[in-house]
Amino acid sequence: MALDELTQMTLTGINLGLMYALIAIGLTLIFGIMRIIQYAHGEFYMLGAYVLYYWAAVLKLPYWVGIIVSAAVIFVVGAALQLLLFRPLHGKNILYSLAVSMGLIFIISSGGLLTFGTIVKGIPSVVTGGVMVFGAFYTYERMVISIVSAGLILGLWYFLQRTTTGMAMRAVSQDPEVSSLQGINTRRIHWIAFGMGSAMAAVAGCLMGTLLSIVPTMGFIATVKAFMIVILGGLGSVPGALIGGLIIGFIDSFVTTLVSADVAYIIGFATIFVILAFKPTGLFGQDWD
Amino acid sequence: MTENTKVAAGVWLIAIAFAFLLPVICSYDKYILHVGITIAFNIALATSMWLIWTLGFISFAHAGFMGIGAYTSALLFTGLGWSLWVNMWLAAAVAGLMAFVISIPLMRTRAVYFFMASWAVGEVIKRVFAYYRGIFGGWDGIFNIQPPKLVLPGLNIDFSSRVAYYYLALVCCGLIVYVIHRIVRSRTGMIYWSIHESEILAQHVGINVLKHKVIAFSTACALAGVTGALYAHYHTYINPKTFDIWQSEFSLVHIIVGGLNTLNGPVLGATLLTVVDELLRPTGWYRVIFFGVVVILTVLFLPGGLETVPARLRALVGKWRKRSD
Amino acid sequence: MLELERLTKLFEEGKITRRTFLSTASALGLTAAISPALLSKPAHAEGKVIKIGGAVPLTGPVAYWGISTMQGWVDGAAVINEKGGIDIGGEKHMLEIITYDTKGTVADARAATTRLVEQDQVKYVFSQAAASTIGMLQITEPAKVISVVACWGYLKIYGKDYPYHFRAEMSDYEQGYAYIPFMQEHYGKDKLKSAAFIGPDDQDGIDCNYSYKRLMEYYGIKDLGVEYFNWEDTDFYPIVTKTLKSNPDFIVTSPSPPGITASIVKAAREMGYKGPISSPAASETKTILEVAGEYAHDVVLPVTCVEPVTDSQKAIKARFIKRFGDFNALAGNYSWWIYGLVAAIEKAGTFEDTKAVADAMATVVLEDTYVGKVTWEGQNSFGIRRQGVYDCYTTLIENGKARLADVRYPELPDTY
Repeated sequence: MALDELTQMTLTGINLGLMYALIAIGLTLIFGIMRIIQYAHGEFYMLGAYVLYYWAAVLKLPYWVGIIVSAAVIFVVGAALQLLLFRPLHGKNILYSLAVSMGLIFIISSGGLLTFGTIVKGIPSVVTGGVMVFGAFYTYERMVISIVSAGLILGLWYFLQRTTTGMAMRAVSQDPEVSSLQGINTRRIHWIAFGMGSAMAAVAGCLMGTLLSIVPTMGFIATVKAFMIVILGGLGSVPGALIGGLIIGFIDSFVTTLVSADVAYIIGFATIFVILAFKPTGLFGQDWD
Repeated sequence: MTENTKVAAGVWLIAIAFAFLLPVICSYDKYILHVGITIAFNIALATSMWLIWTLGFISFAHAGFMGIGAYTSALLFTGLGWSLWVNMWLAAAVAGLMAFVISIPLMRTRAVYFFMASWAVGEVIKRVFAYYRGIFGGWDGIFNIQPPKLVLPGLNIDFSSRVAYYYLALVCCGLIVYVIHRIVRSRTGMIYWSIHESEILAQHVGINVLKHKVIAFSTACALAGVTGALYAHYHTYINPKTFDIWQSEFSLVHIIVGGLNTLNGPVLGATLLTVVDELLRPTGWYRVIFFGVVVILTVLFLPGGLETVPARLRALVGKWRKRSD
Repeated sequence: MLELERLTKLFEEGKITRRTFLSTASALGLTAAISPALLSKPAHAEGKVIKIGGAVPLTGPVAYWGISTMQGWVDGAAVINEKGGIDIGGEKHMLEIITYDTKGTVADARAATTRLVEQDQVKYVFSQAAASTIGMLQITEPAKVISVVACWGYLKIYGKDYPYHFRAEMSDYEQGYAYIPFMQEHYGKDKLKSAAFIGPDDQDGIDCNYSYKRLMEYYGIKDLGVEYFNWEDTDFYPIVTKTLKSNPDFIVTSPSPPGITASIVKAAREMGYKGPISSPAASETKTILEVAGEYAHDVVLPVTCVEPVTDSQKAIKARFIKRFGDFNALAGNYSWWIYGLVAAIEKAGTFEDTKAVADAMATVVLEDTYVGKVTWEGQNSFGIRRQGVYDCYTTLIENGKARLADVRYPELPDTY
C-alpha cells in the first residue's frame, strides 16, 4: 500500500470520524440524561442542513452565522418537541419513546420532502483550495470542518465539566432521583439537554451538507451511524462517543477503500455485536434497568 | 367463561368466517384478494413479533429472520427445484436455528442495548444477502420463485391462482396465530409475562429466564421464517431491501397501534393499518405522514392501542349512565 | 430561549394542557393528510374515457424520478383533453390518469399495478425505475397491458418475451452513441484512450457497467475497470481514490443521481484529477453546480437540456411551471411518452386491442417533442422495437457554468 493512499484513508477516516462523533455526542447526551430512545435524531441533522441551505444558498447570508442560526433554530425545535412529546413518556418503557420518535421520522422526513422538494441540493462551500500532505491532497474545507468538529466536542466537554448546568446534567445522567433531591430541576435539564443534543446534530448536518449534498431523506443514515457509535461507546458517555465515532469513521474509510461498503457495514455491526456480547453496556456506558 | 371472553370469542369467529368467505363476498376481485394476502403476511409477522414482546422486549432483527426463511425457501426452489411444501419447514428450521445460535449472546444485553444489538443482527443479515452475490444474488435478489402446486388424487390445485394462494396464506397465518395463542395461554405464557413484569423477580422464584428467552425468541423467528417462505413464493421475487429494518418497524407500528396487551392487538393493528395504507396509496407523502401522526397519537392518548377502545367506550358509557342517574 | 421558558411555564401551570395543544395540532395535521385523498378528482362524467395508470415511486429515495414521470402524463392528458380528447374511429375519448405510489419497492409496485389492472381496469400503465418495473411486469404482461417505463438494464425482463413492455427512456447504452462521439470531437480522440467506471453496487450499476463495456469495445477505448459505491455511502473519497489509481483519461459514472455525481466530481477534482467525467443519469445541472461549486468542470451530461431551445420545449417548460410550480429537465425528457402512446392508439384505431396498439406503437415516430425526434428501435439486438431513441441533448459544464454543447441523434450501429 502506497503512502499517499494510506494518508488519504487516514485523513478521510479522521474527517468522517469527527463528524460522526458530533452527531453521536448529541445523541448520547439525550440518551444518558433522559434515558429514552431518540430514534429521530438524524432528522434534526437533516433539518439543520436545510436551515443553513436556506440561509446561505437561498438568502445569500453569511455562512458561519448561518451555522449558529441553524443550531439555535434546531435547539428550539428540539426543546419544544421534548416538552410536547417526550416528557410524558419519561420513565415508561423505552418502546414508547421509540414509537414516538419513529412517528417523528415519518412526519419530518416526508414533510421535508413535501416542503423542500425531492431534488438534491448543495450548500456552496466558503473555503476552497488545499494542500498536499504526504502525497495526498487535503482540502482546506475538510481541514476546517475537522477543526470545527473537534472544537465543538471539546467545548461540550468543557461545558459538562465546568459549568453549573453542565454539572447538573452529569448529575442527572448519573442518578436522576438523587440529583432531583439535591434541588436540580430535572425537567429543565431534560429540555436543555434535548435541545443541545439536537443542535449538535444540526451543526454536523451543516458541515456534512457543505462537504457533500443534502436531501430530505439523509437523516436516517445519520441515525444509523449515531446509534452504532453510541452503542459502541456506551450510552451517556461523551469520550465513548468520540472514540466510537473515530472507530466507525476509520472502518468506513479503510474498509470501503480496500474492500467494499457492504463489508464496512458488516464489520461495523459485527464489532458492535461482539462488544455487546462481552460487555452488555458498551465500552464506557451506564447500566439501565 | 366471562362475559368479555365470550364477546371476544364471538368477534373472532365472525372475523374468521368473514376471512374465509371474503373471496365470495368480493366476487373474486383479485386486487382485494391481494390486499387480503398482504394482511395475512403482516398479521403473521406482527403476531410473531408480539410473542417476543410478551417477554418484555422488541427485536428489530425480526424482518431479517423473515428474510432468512424467504431466502432459504427461494434458494431451495431455484437450486434444487423443491416446492414450498418442503421448503416451508426447512425455512422455519433454518430461521429458528440461526435465531437460537444468535440469541445466546444476544440475550446477555438488555433494554436499549438489546434493541440495538438486535438491530445489528438484522442489518448484518441484510448485508450478507447483499454482499454474497454469487449465493444470494446481491442487491438485485432472486427472480422466478414459483408458487407450489398441490397434486392429490382427485384434487389438483395450482397456487399461482390468487384465490388458492389467498386460502394458503389465510390458513398458514391462522395456524401461526393459533400456535402463538396456545403458547401465550399455557403455563409457559404466564412465565413469559412474569419475565415481562420483572426479570429479577422471575429469576428469584426459580424461573430459568435465559432458557425461556432463547426458546421464545427462536420460536418467534421460526414463525417469521415460515412467513418469509410464503412471502417469497407469492411475490416470486425477493431482494435484501424487503427484509430491512423498516419491515420490522412497520410490524412494531402495527403492534403499538393495535395494542400490546393481548394477541388481538397485533391482529387488529396489522389488518386496519394495511387497509388504510392501501386506501391512502394515491396520496404519496401524506400516507407516510399519516402513519407518523397515528403512531404518536396512539402512544400519547391511547397507550393500550385500539384493542382498548371497547373497554374505554364501556367505561365512558358507564360514567355517563351514573351521571344521568 | 425566553419564549421557550414562558411556554414551559404555561405548560407547567396547566394553562395550555399538552392534550389540548396536541389534539388541536394533530386534528389539523390529520385533516391536511386526508383531504387530498378525499378530494381526488372525479372521473369525466360524460363521453368515453381511456384510463391510464401510473405505478410510480411518489415516496422513498427515487420519488424525484417518479414525480417527474407523473407530471409528464398529467400535463399531456390535460393538453389532449382540452383539445377534445383522442379521436378513435370518429369518436372522441378523454384521458384519465390514475397514479398510485410504489415507494420504489418491488412488492409495493406489484400491489399498485394489481390495483390499476384488476380494479381500475386500465389497459395502459407507466412506471419509473427498475424496482417498480420488476413488480409491474409480473402483472401487466399476462394481462396484455401495455407498460411504458424508464428502466435501464435488467435485460432478462425485456425484449421479445415482453411484447407489451416499452422502455421509453434511452438507457445509458443508447446515450453512449451520442455522447462518446461528442466527447471525441470536443476533447480529441487521442485524449480519450482509456476510461474507468463508477456505479452503484446493485443490478443497475452492474447493467450500466455492461453497457459501458460494450460501448468502450465499440469505440476502441481501453477499459480500466469498475468501482461500485453503496447507496448509503456518505463520503466518496474512498471510491474515487480507488478509481484514480488506474489513472483513466475519462470517467463514466452511471446511473448516479445528481447529488452523487456531484460528490464524485468534487472528490475527483479535489484529488487533482483533470479528465472529463460523464454521467448519463444526472440530468440536474443546478444540483451539480451547487454541490461541486468551483470544481464543476468538464462534466458531460447527456440527455440534459439545460435551457429550452425550440418553441415546443419553451411551451412545455412554461406549462409545467404553471401547472406544477416547477420544471426540471428530467420531467421534460419524460413529457413525450403520453404523446407516443396516444399516436399509437389513434394509429391502431382502437384502445381495447392492446396488441394492435403495441404493434402500432413500434412504428410511431414523433418529430417535435421536448427531446426532438423520437423513434422506437432495437429490432436487430432485441428482435423487437421497444426501446425509445431520440435526439440526445448533451450539456457540458465548464468552469462552474453549464451550456448546451451538442444535439445529435444517437449514431447507432447497424446491429442495434
